[in-house]
Amino acid sequence: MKHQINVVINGEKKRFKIFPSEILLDVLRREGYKGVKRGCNEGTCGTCVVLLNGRAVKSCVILAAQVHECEITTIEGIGTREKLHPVQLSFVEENVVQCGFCIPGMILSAKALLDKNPNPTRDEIKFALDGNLCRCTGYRGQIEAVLKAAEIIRGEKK
Amino acid sequence: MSRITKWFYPTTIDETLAFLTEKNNEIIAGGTHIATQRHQSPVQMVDITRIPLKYIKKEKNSLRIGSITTITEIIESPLCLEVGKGILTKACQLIADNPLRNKITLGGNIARRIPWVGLPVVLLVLDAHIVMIEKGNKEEKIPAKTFFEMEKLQKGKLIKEVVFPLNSVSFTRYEKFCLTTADYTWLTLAFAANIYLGVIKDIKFAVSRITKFQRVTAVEEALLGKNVNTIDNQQIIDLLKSNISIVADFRSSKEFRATILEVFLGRFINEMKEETA
Repeated sequence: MKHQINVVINGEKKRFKIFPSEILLDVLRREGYKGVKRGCNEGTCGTCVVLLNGRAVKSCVILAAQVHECEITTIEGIGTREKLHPVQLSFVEENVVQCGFCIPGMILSAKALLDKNPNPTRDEIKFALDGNLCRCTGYRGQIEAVLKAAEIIRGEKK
Repeated sequence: MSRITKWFYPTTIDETLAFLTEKNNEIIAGGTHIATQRHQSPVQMVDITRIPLKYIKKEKNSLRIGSITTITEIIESPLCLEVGKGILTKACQLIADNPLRNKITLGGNIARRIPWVGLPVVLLVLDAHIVMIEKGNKEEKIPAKTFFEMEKLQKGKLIKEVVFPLNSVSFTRYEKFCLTTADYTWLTLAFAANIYLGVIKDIKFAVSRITKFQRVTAVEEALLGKNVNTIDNQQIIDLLKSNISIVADFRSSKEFRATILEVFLGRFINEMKEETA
């Protein structure tokens, strides 16, 4: 490993030694961020989504060296078991999780949307989640869950 | 796995151009296709995301977009809606999916002659210009038609920006056919026309993926000067089919692709008649 990157992951400064050709997904999982899931490994399914400087990106099609001096948020940086993030809470309450494999990526895509736009339309939610595939539940429930999370974030619902 | 040996992070255009003169150096910005690419020989990556080419600037008659501006940033910019009655924004909305649009850059979409990318046909019908820069800060402004006729970019040159004209246009359409957001595109078409009192005064039509990126001048010439109400759709469709070489691949036959093309072009012409007659 002959390349070094400095990143801020979930608010913590980190320094990783990497191979120059390594994919971000591989580095994150090796460093313990197992909430970043490997699905298609070619930029299609969205299970590996993380936030890069606040934007949802697919970590399987980004080389780790590209995120040098950037901020990354993984699902481990969103909420806690005791205090879930509003998107996590609404996904649970709306029963939109089955196998759960797509959920970390989907929650991060929804969070990125709501951070910028806490009052999205259904179409804006569909557009924000169009890179996250779910093979269990379909998408209707998840869209409802994001609408509900938006209400919590706006303070209209507890 | 790629055979990347080293990374550089230039912060200025001059520094970037100095790196580009080296034989094995390759530019990366969004990099979504590079991550899964296998390099035959060792390469050194020049990450250009820190140089000041991320901007959208309006001038009197044009909009200049820096080459490392992402597709999402173009979609979110109200200024880009002024380009070709919103055709640039629409084409960007149909590129891949949200996490990929957050990484893909304007320059990356047009730099490689990858047939499934969306923007070349839009640049062709809008008469956009691509500004290239090389060592010594020499700039060259190339019309989109010339740019897409070149097989690849010349070594040592960098795409600085794309300049879109803001002149008025009466009718534009962009369509893309694919099975899912992440599917490789099967067909892209773009259409821009100026129509005065029902008569077509200027028209540009481009198609890709079903053939190479190209303006179809035979169709443009057949439509120029016509009253939109007198256009014979089938005649134009037949003319288009006879002037391009439709390619098949493992997913669909030439006949199927020709049918998709026919449906979209027929739809464009009908919408043009309804909106501008």
